[in-house]
Amino acid sequence: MTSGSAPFEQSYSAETARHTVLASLVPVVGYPLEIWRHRYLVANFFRRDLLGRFRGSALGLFWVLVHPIFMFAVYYLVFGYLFGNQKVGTAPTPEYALYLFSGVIAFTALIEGTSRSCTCVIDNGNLVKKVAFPSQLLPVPLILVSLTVYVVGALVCLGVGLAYGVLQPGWSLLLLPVVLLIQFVMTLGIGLFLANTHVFSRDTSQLWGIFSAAWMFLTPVFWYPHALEGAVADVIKSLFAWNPAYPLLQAHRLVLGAQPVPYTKDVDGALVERLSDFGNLGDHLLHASLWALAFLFVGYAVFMSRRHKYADLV
Amino acid sequence: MSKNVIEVERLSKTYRLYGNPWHRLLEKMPWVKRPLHKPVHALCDIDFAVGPGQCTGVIGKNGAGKSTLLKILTGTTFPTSGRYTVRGKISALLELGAGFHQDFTGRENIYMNAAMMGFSRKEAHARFKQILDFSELHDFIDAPVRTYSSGMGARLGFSVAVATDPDVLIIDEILGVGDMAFQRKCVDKIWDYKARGKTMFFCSHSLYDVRQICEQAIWLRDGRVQMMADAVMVTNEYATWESHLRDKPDQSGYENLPAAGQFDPKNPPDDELHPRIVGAQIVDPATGQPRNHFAPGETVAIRVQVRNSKTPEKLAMAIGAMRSEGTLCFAHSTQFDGVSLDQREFVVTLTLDGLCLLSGEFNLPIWLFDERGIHRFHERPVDQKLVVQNRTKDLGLFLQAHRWQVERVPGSVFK
Repeated sequence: MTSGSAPFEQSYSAETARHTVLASLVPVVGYPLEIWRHRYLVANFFRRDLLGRFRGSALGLFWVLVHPIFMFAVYYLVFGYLFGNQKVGTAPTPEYALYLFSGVIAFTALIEGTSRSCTCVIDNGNLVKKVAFPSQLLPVPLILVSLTVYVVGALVCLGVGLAYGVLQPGWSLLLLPVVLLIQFVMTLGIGLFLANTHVFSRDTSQLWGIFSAAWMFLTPVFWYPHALEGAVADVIKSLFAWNPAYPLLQAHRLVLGAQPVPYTKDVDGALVERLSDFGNLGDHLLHASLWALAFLFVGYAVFMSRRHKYADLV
Repeated sequence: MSKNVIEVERLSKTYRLYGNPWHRLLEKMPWVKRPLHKPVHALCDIDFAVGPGQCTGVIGKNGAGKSTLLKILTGTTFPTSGRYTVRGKISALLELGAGFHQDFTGRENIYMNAAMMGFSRKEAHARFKQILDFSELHDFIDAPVRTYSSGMGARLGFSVAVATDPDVLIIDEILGVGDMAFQRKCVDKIWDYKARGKTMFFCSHSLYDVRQICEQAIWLRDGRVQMMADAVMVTNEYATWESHLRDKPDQSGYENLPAAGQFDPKNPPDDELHPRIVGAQIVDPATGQPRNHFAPGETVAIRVQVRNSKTPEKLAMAIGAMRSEGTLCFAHSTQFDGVSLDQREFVVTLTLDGLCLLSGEFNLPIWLFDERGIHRFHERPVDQKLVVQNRTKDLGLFLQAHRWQVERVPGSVFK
């Protein structure tokens, strides 16, 4: 859409400019480079966002920790004691506690990254409207902040897990950056898509709020995947496997060193002891990254193909 | 002649106004045949070219499409049809504070803008000091921009825009912000730009500024180019049109001079930095005594005492006569007449030979400019009004040199 034959020459023709989604798919290759080139800009936004959120509050950055811990406590109480993951009246196991915790922090990061990206173009109207700001960078710092919060939570999770001997992280822990990268790409893809939609219809953020709550309950955050066994038809069970967040979440847990948990299953009237495993890390990483790339391609192409309209609509 | 720096061909921009947000979506549906939006044509088939080193003014009423045109050229928004080319690095001074993140500090905003202009961190580092020095915001550079006053924001904006050394500088109504000394710096910088053969695109409501700074001007009216020609021609045409519109007498020239500086023009700071008008008087040149009642045909002198800054500046002075209802009858400038004023303390006398004004009371405004007639150091009227009392029965504003002649002609002369 903008071509440069001489240095700093820019030319634009409305007749030849192509704002189709397909045409915008090609430059996605240059997107990482674009982010890298503007890394200081991104870093500035990142720092502002992180500090700005806690400025003036008495606990400051400590809130980054308090929020997931508190949410964890509530979920633990409700799902551990009141609903059926455990036998009624018994205390929930530390295994379940950390299963829950790792799920909650990872999924919260995903939701927070996407929902904040959703409004990022509108929120920065001053930049989008008045100057040729590379608006495709706007979600990046927001997502990095959400991942930072996640990392803090993950450290807490690891510490507690090691203390109880529930988590046994091995070399796989070295793959944590890979999982973070996959989550970053996935969140970015969804975030760009939502941000674009939100410019055209301000109902998007509301809809996304509802959708993400539902998504959270449909993803094994609170429950073990084995809870599906026997509870639903196999078709539906396989549908659950198509949830993009599923491999991502399980990868998070495996990387942190989650161990298989025993459970009993009613097989033809007899109770059978089984081990619930979290699947194969390699498979999860592959599936999650395929999802992430698909989201990024679609999100970026849609965003870039509509970007020329933002200044008029914000 | 090298290539044009800005080329614009059949450029149009149409905004769509929807009655409600649903219509945007609904309109896309295949069964909806009738458009649900109201088109607003901000620009229609604009064609023009700007050569290297040219300074082009853009004038027009609010809503004529000036800002849309500038936004398209800076790549913020895109045309609906047509094409444009900008050759060279472009930098824009749009509204105050536009392009700044309000929560970022001045320092961070400088780096952010540098990055948006395509500069590397290293290049931004290299320019940072220059920007900071120009803006004179040393004490506030690490405070968030939202805490800045509008003058400080403007300083930062101007400093950033010029420090990137663009080939094309776009200025949208930016002069006349900040304090006196800073305004002066901006004017100097703009002049320096012109001198170095850079291209400027200048959008202003001040016809006076456009005339002084630009060689050519574009008059936009309802999104179309009404006229593009020499700046003086265009501004004169525009002023005439505008005065018809307002149904008020034409006051082309000085009517939209903004007030000088940010101090009370009648009472400027008594320091050594600002040239100022110390006093002014209307005198009878024959006796040298003050007098302000004159008859047409008499000679009138206006004496103005000026104190220049400590290191004397080259100045220009303009004196006008304005009738009580606001018509500027004349205004003469030392700049146009080639008179130089550069002493420390001096008195300027403007002698009006054979006064041709007819009866009326005239306010005599005095403007003190820099030598280029752009930056206004001081303005104030002469304390007394010039009162002209007509001894003949002639009517009107002024006494036109005239004579009558009578011939005897039979039959009809005019066919």
